[in-house]
Amino acid sequence: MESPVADKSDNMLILGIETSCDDTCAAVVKNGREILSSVISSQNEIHEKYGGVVPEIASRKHIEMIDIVVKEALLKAGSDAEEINLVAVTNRPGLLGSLLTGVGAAKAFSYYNQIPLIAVNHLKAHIFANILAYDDISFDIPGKYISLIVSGGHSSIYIVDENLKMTEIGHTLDDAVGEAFDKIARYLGLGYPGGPAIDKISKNADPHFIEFTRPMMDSKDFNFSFSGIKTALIYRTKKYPELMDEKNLPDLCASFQAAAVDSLVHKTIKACTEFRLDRVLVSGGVAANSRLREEFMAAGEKNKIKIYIPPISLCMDNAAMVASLGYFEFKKGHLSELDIDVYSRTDF
Amino acid sequence: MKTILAVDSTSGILSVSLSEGSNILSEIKDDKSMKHMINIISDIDQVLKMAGKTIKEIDLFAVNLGPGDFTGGRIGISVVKMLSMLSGSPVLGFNSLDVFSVGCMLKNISDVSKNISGFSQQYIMPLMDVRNNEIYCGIYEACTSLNNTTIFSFDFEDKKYFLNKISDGFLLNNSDFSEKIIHIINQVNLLDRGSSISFDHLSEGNNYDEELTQEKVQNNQNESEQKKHSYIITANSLKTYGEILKNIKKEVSVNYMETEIIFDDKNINPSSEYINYLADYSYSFSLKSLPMSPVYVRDFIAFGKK
Repeated sequence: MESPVADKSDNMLILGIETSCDDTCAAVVKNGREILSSVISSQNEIHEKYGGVVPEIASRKHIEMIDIVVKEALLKAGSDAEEINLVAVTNRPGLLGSLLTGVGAAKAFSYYNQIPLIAVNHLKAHIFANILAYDDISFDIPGKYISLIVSGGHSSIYIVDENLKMTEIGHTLDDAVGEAFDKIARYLGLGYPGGPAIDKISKNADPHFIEFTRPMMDSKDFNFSFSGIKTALIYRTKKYPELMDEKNLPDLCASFQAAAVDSLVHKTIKACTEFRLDRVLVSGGVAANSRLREEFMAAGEKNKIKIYIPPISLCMDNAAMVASLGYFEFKKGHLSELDIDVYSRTDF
Repeated sequence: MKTILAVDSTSGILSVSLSEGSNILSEIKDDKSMKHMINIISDIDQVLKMAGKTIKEIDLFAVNLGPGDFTGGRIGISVVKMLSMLSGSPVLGFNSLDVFSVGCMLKNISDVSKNISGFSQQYIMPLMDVRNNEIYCGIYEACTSLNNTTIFSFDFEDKKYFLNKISDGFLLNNSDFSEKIIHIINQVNLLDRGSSISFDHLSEGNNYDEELTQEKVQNNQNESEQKKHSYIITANSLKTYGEILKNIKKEVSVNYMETEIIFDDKNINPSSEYINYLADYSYSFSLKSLPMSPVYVRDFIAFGKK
């Protein structure tokens, strides 16, 4: 398909589709920043009994919901399918069986309406939750950002430049922070997903009840590790089961949460110092965590670093961020052919 | 007459075909296995161009809902669902067993018509290897009478033949497969014309039924005449369970005068043109469609065996 370069004055409607994990999402976004609609069909209740996402079950749900969410997104945006100018879809990374559904539907939409298609990276899309929320983030002027992406599947730090190029500078050596939250929550009987459950129970509790060793605070790199604090908590509670009593549980959770958050904030600020950057984009599902948000804002003020964190509704997987990224990729002259494939892993 | 676009991505061969009613105008079979996601749009585009049509002229979409070899079936389903939603043209989905049985009937139509003219009852049994030591089975009858289980009809040499669904798809474990097939043939031989039967009970558990192991194919003696029965076995289990099936065929030919089994090995993979036929028939007679979801032969049990 021909790839026209976008002209400067545009009024583009972008349809975003996201099916990389267990949420089937579609959204309509105008000019990359204005959300006209964002529809999410979540599968939480289904995966809850397994304590995590079961890939085959997730795939099955996507195929049921894909046309429904797209239709709903168009309806809510008050747009006809013919008015869409660009389709953006996540094709990497994620669960293959799930990605296939979104990409198949996106290709069909692009082909039927003879409009361009752009396949995007899910992690990169999370960053664009910030672009949707904050007008002062621009990729039109040269400059770099530190980007921290924290979710159930990822905990990594990147440098992002004005060409949307992402360079990884650190990642988790074991569990992603969201995964650690899920595992601890399951262990403590708090349900799935774990992050919100721990966040809720930790509000107003004492984060210094136990001082878990903050992982890797002194290492020279920007990597993370969360299985250590997880193991420490489990070991401690096996030795002192009363820590899991109703009166201690909130403090226990708050302490665990504080240790995890501290290491994320500390390393991110350290990256700013090292690379002499003063703008940070935080994103991903765990960016919804209230302690993380508080600590980052405090650290930002203290170190004169501008911290961007999306509103909570944009932290979880959604298609608006996919549409936004798609728009900005398109403006940089990037496009996908209709023969693109799906990938479970990715380099950017 | 409806312009019908059909897609089958359930096996290693991706096929797309365009028809006007049951008149196939163009088709593509793409055997770049596991690359269905890469090729599906270009194959659709090519099939349209070959027939001089555009995607907006499609009146009816149709797709194989599976089961199949791998998860590729989803690709066809999601593409076709979206095309249908955008165009407003309806979409119909079919079970793989239906697709195999139509293919079998058409590929063997002269034998089928000969058998039926020779007063034999003609059955078609698609047997699909769906891994996990299981075989997904269906039973259809090709005959000259229409009834409420008819899924397809075909004119051949001035006669009209109908394909009727005797049984919904059911799952058999391969450990006692031979005994169960013999049992099924005996039961089907006893059926009155136009009736259907369920074999769901054979799927449950792994009961080793003593009676079944002793059961031989029985003669179906009417007072006045012996009915003849012909079974055509088709689909991919011919490849993977070839030996077992050959033994069943031998046992039947030795023990039973009027039942024969023949193998249709021209129909190992499904093909979308049979979906065009099914869709044309189904739409013309307003048959009830399957929900537009993949067909799963078993529930997915996470982290454990059934």
